[in-house]
Amino acid sequence: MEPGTGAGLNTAVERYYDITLDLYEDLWGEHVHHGFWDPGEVPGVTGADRHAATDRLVRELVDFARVPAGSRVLDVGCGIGGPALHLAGAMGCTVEGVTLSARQAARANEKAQAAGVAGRARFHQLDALSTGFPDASFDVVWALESLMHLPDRPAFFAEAMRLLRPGGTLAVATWSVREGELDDAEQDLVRQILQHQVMPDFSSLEEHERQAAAAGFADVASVDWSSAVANSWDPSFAQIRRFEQGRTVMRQLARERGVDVLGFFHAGPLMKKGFDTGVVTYGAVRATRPEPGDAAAAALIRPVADLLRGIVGEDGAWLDSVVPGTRIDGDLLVESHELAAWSLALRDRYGDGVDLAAYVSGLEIDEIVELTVADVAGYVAAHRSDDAGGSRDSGPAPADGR
Amino acid sequence: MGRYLFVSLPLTGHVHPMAAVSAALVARGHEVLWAGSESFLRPVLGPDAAIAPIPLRAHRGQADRGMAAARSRWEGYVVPHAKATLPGIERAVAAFRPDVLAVDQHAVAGAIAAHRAGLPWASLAPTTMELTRPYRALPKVEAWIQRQMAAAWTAAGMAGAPPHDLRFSPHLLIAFTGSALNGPLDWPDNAVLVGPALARRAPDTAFPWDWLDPGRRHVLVTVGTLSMDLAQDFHARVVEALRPLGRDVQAIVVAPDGTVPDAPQGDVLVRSRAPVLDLMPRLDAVVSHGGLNTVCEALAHGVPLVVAPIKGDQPINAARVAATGAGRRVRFAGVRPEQLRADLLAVLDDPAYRAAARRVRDSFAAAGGAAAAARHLEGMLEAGSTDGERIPA
Repeated sequence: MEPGTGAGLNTAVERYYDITLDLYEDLWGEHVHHGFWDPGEVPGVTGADRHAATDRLVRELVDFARVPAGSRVLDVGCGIGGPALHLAGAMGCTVEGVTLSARQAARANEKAQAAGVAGRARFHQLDALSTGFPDASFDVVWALESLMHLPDRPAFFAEAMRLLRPGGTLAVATWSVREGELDDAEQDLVRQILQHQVMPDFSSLEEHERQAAAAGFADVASVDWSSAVANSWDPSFAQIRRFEQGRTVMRQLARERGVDVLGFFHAGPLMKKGFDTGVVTYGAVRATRPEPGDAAAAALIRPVADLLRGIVGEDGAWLDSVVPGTRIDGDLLVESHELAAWSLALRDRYGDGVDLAAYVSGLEIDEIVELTVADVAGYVAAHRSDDAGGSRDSGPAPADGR
Repeated sequence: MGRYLFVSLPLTGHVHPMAAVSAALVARGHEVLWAGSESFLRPVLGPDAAIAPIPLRAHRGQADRGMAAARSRWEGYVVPHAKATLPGIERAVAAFRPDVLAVDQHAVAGAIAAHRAGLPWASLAPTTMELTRPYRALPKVEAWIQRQMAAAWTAAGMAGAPPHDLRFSPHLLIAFTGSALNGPLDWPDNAVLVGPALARRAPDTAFPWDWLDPGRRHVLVTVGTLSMDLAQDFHARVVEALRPLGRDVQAIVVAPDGTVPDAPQGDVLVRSRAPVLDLMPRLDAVVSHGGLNTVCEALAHGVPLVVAPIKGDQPINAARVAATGAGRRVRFAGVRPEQLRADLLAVLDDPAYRAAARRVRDSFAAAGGAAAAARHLEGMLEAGSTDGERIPA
C-alpha cells in the first residue's frame, strides 16, 4: 500500500488502527505511544515499566505545554484513550477525543466507562480537520503522536487556532525528522517507516514551529525528546520480536486482516535504526492562541495603572516603575478599598462591561496574590465597552469608533 | 470560683489584652492557667502567673504584606501552630480541668481542644481581622480559610468537618475594640465589645524621661515588627517628614537599632522599645501601622493618630480611625515625606481630631475593658456548659 493523501490516507489510517487495535493494546496497554526515560535509564525487561514510561510521556507533555488542570481538551488522535483518561482523571479535564478509527473510539469509550470518567471523556470517530466543534470551544488542543498521520499540517494548526479559545494552549508530541537534507539511504529509511506506519511524511520539529507561528500561534516552543523516547524501540520493550517469531500467527493475521497489518511488526527495527542514526527525531511543540486583546492590553497597562495612581496618590515615578508583571497585591499593595475605587474608575473609563471587583471576587487566594497589572489590563481589554473597543488605548475615540 | 484555661499565640499584640483579662479574673478570685510558651509568656504575665509550658517552635516567617500575608498567616503560622500546640493544650486541659477555655481567635488548637473535651469556650479577638469579614467580597478566599481550619481539625483526629467556624465560639466572643471605633458589629450576635484591655506593664526604667522637652509637642512613631528593609524605608521618610518640625515637635521612634539613620538628635529619639502606656498621657499624636493595640491604646488616652497600615487588620483599623475622625490614614507603601508631614500637622493642629479621639476614649471607658471581659467570662460559669446564651455585662 502506498500512502496517499486526503480521504484515501484517512481511510488507510482508519483501517490501520482498526486492524491493529488489539495488537497495540495487548502489547502496549492503553498508551499507544512512546515511553519517556531519564538519561541512562533503560527499559525494564519485557517492558515491565511500560506503563510508567508511557504515563511519564503524558505527564512530560502536560508539564512542557503547561496544560492546566480542569481544562476542556480536544484530543486529536485519541487512540484508545490512555492519555485522555489521565487528563480526565487525575487532572480533572473534560476531554473530547477524536480518532479516525471507529473501533478505537468505541474501545476508548468503554475504557472511560470502566474508569468512571465517561462523564468527562467522550470519544468520537471524526476527522481532526472537520470535527464540527464550534470556534473557541477548547482550552487545550492536545495531539499526542497524531500529526504524523495528517498530510496537511498547516491546516491542522489553522484548525487548532479556530478551536482554541484566546489564550488557549496547543500541546503536540510527534514523530519527526532531523532538520535539513537527508541522503538517499536516510530518505529510504524514512520512506519505509512512513509506508509501514501509514504516514504521509515527516516534518522536522523546527518545521512544526514554523507552521504553528504561520498559523498565528504565539509563544511557540519545541523540545527534542529523541534520546528520552528512543528506548521505546528497544526490542525487549516493544515486544514485537515475539510476534515475528510466530510466523503462523503472522500469516493468520495477514489472511484475516490484510497484509497492511504487518506494517505494525516492521516498525520496530526501522524506528530503532532511525533513532540510532539521528534521522528520526521526536519532540514536543507548545504554542498559545494569542488573546485578541494582547496588543490592546499592552497599550492599556499605562492608562490602567495611571487610574490607580490617582487613587493611591502616587506620582509619575511610581507610574514609570509599573511594568506588566507588577503584582497588584505584593508590589503595589493595593488594599480592598483602593481596589473598589479602581474598579469604579475603570468602569467609568472603559464602560459597564468592566467590573474589576467582580472579576477579583471570583479568584482564588493564589490567583489574587499573583494578579499582575498585565492581567488587569488584559481583563479590561477583553471587557471594555467604550467606543475605543478592544483594540486601542484609552485616548479619545475618533468619530468612526475605531 | 472558676477555673479558666487561656490559650493564645506567642504574639505580643495578642497576649497583652488577654493578659489583662486573666489578671482581672485572678483579682476576682478565679484560677487561671495559661497554656503556651513560658519563655514568651512569663515576661508579659509576670512571675505569679501559672503557665503550662508548651515549647516555642519556629514557624515559617509570614509575608510582609497584602494577600500574600494572609495566605502565609494561615499556611505558615496558624495551622502549623495549631498542630504543634494541641497536645500540650490537651494535657493542660486534662491536668487542670478548666471550667472554661478563653481562646484567641487564631489559636485554633484551643477551639479544637475545647470541642474534644466538651467544655465551654470563649473566643477572644485581640485583632479586628475576623470581625468585619474583610474577605466577604472574595468568597474563594473565605472558602480557602475554612479549608485551612478544616485541615487543622482533621489533623487533630476530629471526625467530619468542624461544626462551626473555629474562630467564633458559639458561646461568647469578646472583642477588644469598641463600637465607637468599629461601629456596632452586625455579626456574630454573641459578640461583646469591651474596648481595650490595658494592664500595667513593667516600668521601662531606662527610658530617658528628661529628654522630653515640655515646651514641644510629642509624637510617638511605632509601626510594629517589620522586616529590616521595609522599616528602613518607612523610617527614612518619617525622619524627613519630621526634620523641619524640630522646633515644635519631638518624636520618639520605636525601631530596631540601625534602622533609622540620620535622625536629628534632640528632635528624634530612636528606641528599640518604649513604655507606650506611660508615654501616652504626654503625647499629642501617634504615627502607627494600625495594629489594634496601638490604635486602642492611643484612643483610650484621647490621642489622635496618623495610621499607615501594612497588613492584616491594620487597613480595617486605619479606615475606622479615619471614619471616626480620630486621625488620618496614609499609604504605608508610598507616602512621601511632604504628605506625611501635612497629615501629621493636620492631626496635631486641628482640635477636631483630638476631640474625636476623646469621644472614642469615653466610649472605651464605658465599655469596661478587662473587667467587663472578666464579667462575661464569669457569666459562662453560671450559664453552664453549652447554652451559648448572651450574657449581660
